[in-house]
Amino acid sequence: MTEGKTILTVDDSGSLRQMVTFVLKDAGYDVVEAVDGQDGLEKAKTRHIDLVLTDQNMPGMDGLGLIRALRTMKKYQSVPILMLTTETGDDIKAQGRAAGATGWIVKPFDPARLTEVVRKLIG
Amino acid sequence: METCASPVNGQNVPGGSHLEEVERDLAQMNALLEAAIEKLLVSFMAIHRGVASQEAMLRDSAVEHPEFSACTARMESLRVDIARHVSQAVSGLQFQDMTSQLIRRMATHLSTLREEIGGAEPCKPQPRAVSQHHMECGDIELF
Repeated sequence: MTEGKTILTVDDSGSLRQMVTFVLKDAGYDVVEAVDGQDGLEKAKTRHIDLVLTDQNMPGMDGLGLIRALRTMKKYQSVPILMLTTETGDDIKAQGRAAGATGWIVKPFDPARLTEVVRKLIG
Repeated sequence: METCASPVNGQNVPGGSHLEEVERDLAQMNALLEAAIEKLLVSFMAIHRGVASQEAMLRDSAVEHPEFSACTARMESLRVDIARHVSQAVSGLQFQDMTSQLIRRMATHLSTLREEIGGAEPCKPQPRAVSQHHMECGDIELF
């Protein structure tokens, strides 16, 4: 089911990117890494991405900025985008939802639950 | 770690040199923490790959040699234990991300404090606080 599915993980923390990549590759997905919103946007433009997993607080373009930019692109209008962040406030979650986020995952993430929610969204 | 370019020199601000020392220590602490977690991650992933290879070899052996079938249940139990520990390690290793955010926030506050003591206007937005106080995994919410 996961064969050929590619996930873009966007986080300015190298260790977090490695952890996400480790968990998702172990679950059978291909993973593309980006170091911030702008890098994520560039990689999303040039590749086929089935799901985006992005941090919120990053230098330059943040997670909300990335979601807004992706949602203006036809090919990303219905691609699931999950926020993976330390942010827990209702106000920022509401901003994420309004920007077009599909869901909100609070760090630290549980590997099994992350894989479960990704499977639910893209198989 | 970024610091705000400031005309305020540590020598000209009361306690400024101490604040500069604390800022330098925080930057060093952040770098050391990052390096330590990087090494832990590399080792952790190598161990995981090794264990996964061993599991695969044992599974193949059990298929080829039915006399090993008594070990299958024990192997499955070990596999479940290993998966649980891997999951806990992945959760625990994420602490570096959160502590780094807190250190950056502290450094920015110190930099701003130094500027305010010196009479300069703060020139950098404050990073958002991290609300987590423990290492339990966070919630998942689908909109």
